[in-house]
Amino acid sequence: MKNLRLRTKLGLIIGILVLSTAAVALVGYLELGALNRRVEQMVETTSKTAFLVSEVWDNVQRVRRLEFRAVMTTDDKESKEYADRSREIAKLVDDAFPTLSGSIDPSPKAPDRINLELFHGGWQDYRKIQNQTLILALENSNFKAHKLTTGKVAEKVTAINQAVAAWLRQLDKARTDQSTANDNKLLGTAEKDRQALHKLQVIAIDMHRQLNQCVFDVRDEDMDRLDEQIAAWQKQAEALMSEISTRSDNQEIPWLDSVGAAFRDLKPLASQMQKLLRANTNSRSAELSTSSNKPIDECRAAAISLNESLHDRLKADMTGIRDTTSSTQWLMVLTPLVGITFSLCLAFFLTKSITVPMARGVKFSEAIARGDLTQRLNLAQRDEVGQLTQAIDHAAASFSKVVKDIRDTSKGIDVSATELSSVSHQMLVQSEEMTTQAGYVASSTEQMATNVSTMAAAAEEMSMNVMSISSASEEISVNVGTISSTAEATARNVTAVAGAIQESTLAFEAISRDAREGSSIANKALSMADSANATMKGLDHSATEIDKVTGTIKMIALQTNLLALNATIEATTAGEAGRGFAVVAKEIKELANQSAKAAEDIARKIEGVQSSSRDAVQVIRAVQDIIQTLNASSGRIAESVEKQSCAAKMSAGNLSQASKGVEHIALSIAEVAKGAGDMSRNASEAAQGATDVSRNASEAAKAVTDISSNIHGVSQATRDNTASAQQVNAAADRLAAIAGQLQQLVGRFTVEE
Amino acid sequence: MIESPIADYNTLSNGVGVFKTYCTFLVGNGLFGTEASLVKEVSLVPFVTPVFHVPDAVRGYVNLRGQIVLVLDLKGILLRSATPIDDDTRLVVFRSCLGDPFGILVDRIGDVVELHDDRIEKCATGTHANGGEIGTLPEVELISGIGKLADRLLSILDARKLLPYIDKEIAQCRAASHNRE
Repeated sequence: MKNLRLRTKLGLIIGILVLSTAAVALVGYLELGALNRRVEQMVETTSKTAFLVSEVWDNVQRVRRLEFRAVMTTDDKESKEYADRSREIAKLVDDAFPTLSGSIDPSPKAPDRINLELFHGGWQDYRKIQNQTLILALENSNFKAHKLTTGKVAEKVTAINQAVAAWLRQLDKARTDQSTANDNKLLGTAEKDRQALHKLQVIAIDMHRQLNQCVFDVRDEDMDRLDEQIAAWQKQAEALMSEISTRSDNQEIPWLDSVGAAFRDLKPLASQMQKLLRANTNSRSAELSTSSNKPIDECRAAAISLNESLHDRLKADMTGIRDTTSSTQWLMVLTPLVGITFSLCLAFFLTKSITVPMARGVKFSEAIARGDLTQRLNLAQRDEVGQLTQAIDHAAASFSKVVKDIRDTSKGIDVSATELSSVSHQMLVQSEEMTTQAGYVASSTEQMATNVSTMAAAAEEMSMNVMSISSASEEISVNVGTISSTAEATARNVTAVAGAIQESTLAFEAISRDAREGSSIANKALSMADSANATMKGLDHSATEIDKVTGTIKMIALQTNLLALNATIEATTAGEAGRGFAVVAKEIKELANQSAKAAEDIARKIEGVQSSSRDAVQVIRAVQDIIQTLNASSGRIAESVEKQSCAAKMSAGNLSQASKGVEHIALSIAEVAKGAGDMSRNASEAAQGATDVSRNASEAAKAVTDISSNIHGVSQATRDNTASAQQVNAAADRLAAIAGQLQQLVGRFTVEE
Repeated sequence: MIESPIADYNTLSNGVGVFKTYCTFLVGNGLFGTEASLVKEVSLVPFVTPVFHVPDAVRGYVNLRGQIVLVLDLKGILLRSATPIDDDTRLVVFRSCLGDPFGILVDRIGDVVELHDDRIEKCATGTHANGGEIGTLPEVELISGIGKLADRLLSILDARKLLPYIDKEIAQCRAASHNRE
C-alpha cells in the first residue's frame, strides 16, 4: 500500500466515490422508471376507466329521468322533446360501452369484466323497455281522453240536457194546457214522453259520468264491460228516441232532431273515447317505467362494484408507489453512505502515507538550518513521496560534501595566509636590514670618498672642480630625479583632472539639457496660465450676464409684489365675493417674495463666484510670475552652465597644453640629463687631461658617485620595498582574518569526517 | 416688504363690529394704514412734475397710465420732511370717490391686514405711534384711530380728510404770500 504511486491512490478514492454516485444514480433512475410506469397506469387506465364508468352511470340516470318526465308530462310537444333527448343520451351510452369494454381487462373470468357484462346486460334490457315506454308516453291517451270528456263530450251532453230541458218545459207547458183541457190521453203521452226524456237525460249523464270515471281509473278487464254498457246505453237511447218520435208531433221535431243529432254525435265520440281508454297509454307507460327498475338496479349494482374494484386497484397502486418510493429512498441513502465510508478509510491511509514523511521532512530541514548536515531521511517508500525524500537525502549528502570541501579549502587558505604573513614579515625585516646595510654602505662610501680626495692631493683643484662638477651633476641628477617624479605626479594629476573635467562636461551637458527642458515646460505652463486667465475672464463675463438676469428677476419680483398688493386691495373692495381673490393675491405675493429671495441668492452666489474667480486670477498671475522667475533662473543656469562648459573646455585645452608642457619638461629633463651626462663626460675628459691620479681619482669619484647614486636608488627601492612589504603584510593579515571568518562560518556545520 | 401678521381675530372680539381691511405702509419709523376700500392701487413712483407756489407737502403731478394724479408727501404732512424717492418708495393712489385723483408717497409699503373694530382705539387727542407732539394739527385731523396688531401699533389714517387738509394748507400758504406782498 505504501509503495503505490500517489496517482493510483487518489484514483482509487475518486473511483470509489464515482462508483457510489453512479450506483445512486442508477438506483434512482430504475426506481423512478418503475414509479413512473405505475403512476401512468393509475392515471391513464384505472382512473380514466373509473371516470368513464361514472359518466356512463350518470347518463343512464339522466335517460331514466327524461323518460319519467316524458311519461308524466301531459303536453305532447314536451313529451316528444323529452323522449328525443332521452333517446339521444341513450345513444351516447350505447357508444360509450365499447370504449369502456376496451379499457377493462378482457379475460372473461376477471371480476371487472363480469361486472361490465352485467351492466351492459341490464342496460340493454332497459333499452327494450324504454323504447316501448317512450312510444306509449308520446301517445298520452288518458289525457286526451280526459280532454275529450271535458270537452266535446261534455258539450254534447250539455246540448242534450238543454234540448231535453227545453222540451220538458214545453211539455210541462203543454201539460198545464192539457191539464186544464183535461185531455187524459194527451196527458198520458206527455207523461210517457216526459219519462222517456228523463231517461234520456239520465242515460246521457250516466254515460258522461262513467266515461269521466273511466278516464283515469280503468283496467283492461273493465274495458269490455264499459264497452257493453255504452253500447247498451246507446241502444236504450235509440229505443227511447224512436219511442218518442212515434209519439211526438211536428212541434217537437226540431228538439227530437237536435237530441238525435247530439246522440248520434256522441256515438263516435264515445267510440273514440273507448279506443283511447283501451290504449290507456299513460298508465301502461307508467307501469313499464316502474318495471324498468329492475334492470336499472342491476346496472347500478354492476357500476358500483366496477367503480369499487377500480378504486381498490387505485389504492393498491398507491400503496405500491409508496413502497417503491420508500425503498428507493433507503437505497439512495445507504449507497452513498457505504461509498463515502469506504473512501474515507482509503483517504485516511493515503494522508498518513503523505503527512508522516512531511513531518520527518520538516524535522530534517530544521536540523539542516541548525547546521547538522549528518541527518538523513531514509524513507523506505517507493512512491513519489519516497522519491522526493531520496532526492532530498542526495541533496543533503552532496551539500554536506561541498561544505566539507569548503572547510578543507578554508583550512588550506588559513595555512597559506599565515605563511604569506610570515613571509611578508620576513620580507619586511629583511628590507629593514637592507636599509641599514645600505646606510652602512653609504657611510663606507663616504669614507672612501674622503680617502680618494686625500689621494687626489695633487690634482686637488681639478679633482675639487671635478668633484664640484660631479656633485653639481649629482645635484642635477637628484633634481632631475625629483623633477621627473614630480613630472610623473603632475602627469597623473593632469590625467585625473582631465577625467574630472570630462565628467563635469558631461554633467554640464546634462544640466544644460535639463535647463532647456525646464524652460520649455515653463513656456508651456505660461501658455496654460494664459488660457486659464482667458477662461476666468469668460467666467467673469458670464457672471456679469447672470447678474443682469438676476436684476431682471428682481424687477419682476417687485412688480409681482405690487400686483399682488393691488389685487388684495381690489379684493377687499369686492367684499365677500373677493375673499377667494384675496387668497390668490396672497399666494402671488408669497411667490414674489420667493422670487426676490431667489434672485438675492443668485446675486450672492454670483458674487462669491466672482470673488473666487478673482482670487483664481491672482493665483494664476502669481504662478505666472513664479514660472517666469523660474524660467529666468533656468536661463541663467543654462548661461552659467554654458560658461562653465566653456571654462571646462578652456581648462581641458589648458590641461592639454599643461601635459604638453610636462612632456616638454620631460624632454628638457632628458636633455638636461643628457647635458649632465655630457658635463660629466667633459669633467672626465677634463680630468683625463690631469694626471693618472686625477683620472683614477675621478674614476674613483665617478665610481663612488655611481655607487652613491646606486645606494640611494637601492635605498629608495628598499623603502619602496618596505612599503610594499607592509602592504603585503597588511593584505596577508586581512586574508588571515577572512580565512578565520570562513572557518567560523563553515565551523557551524557538522559534517561526517 | 414688511411682514405684518394678520390680526388675531379669534380672541378679544365682542362679536359686534366688523373686520375691516387696511393697507399698511411705513412713513419715517411709523406704521400707518388706511382703509383698503378707499385705495385704488399701489404703484411705483413715476417721474413727478413739480408744481410751484404750493406747500412742500404737495410734490406735484404724475402721469399714471394717462391719468393725472396729484402726489402728496405724507412725510411732509406729518413729519415736515421730504420723502426721498428711492427703490422702495411707493405711490398709494386713492379712489376717485374721494374727489380728484390723488395719491400719497410712502417710504415702504406693508401688507394688507384685517382688523376688527374692537382692536381700534379711537383717538381724539392724537398721540400717534411716532411719539410726536400732542395736539399738532395734522395728526388730530388725519389720524382717526390706533389699531392694535399682534406686535405693533397701526396709526389709521382717514384718507377722506387728506384733500380738505391740503386745500386748507394751500389757502394758508397763499394768504401768507399775499401778506408778504
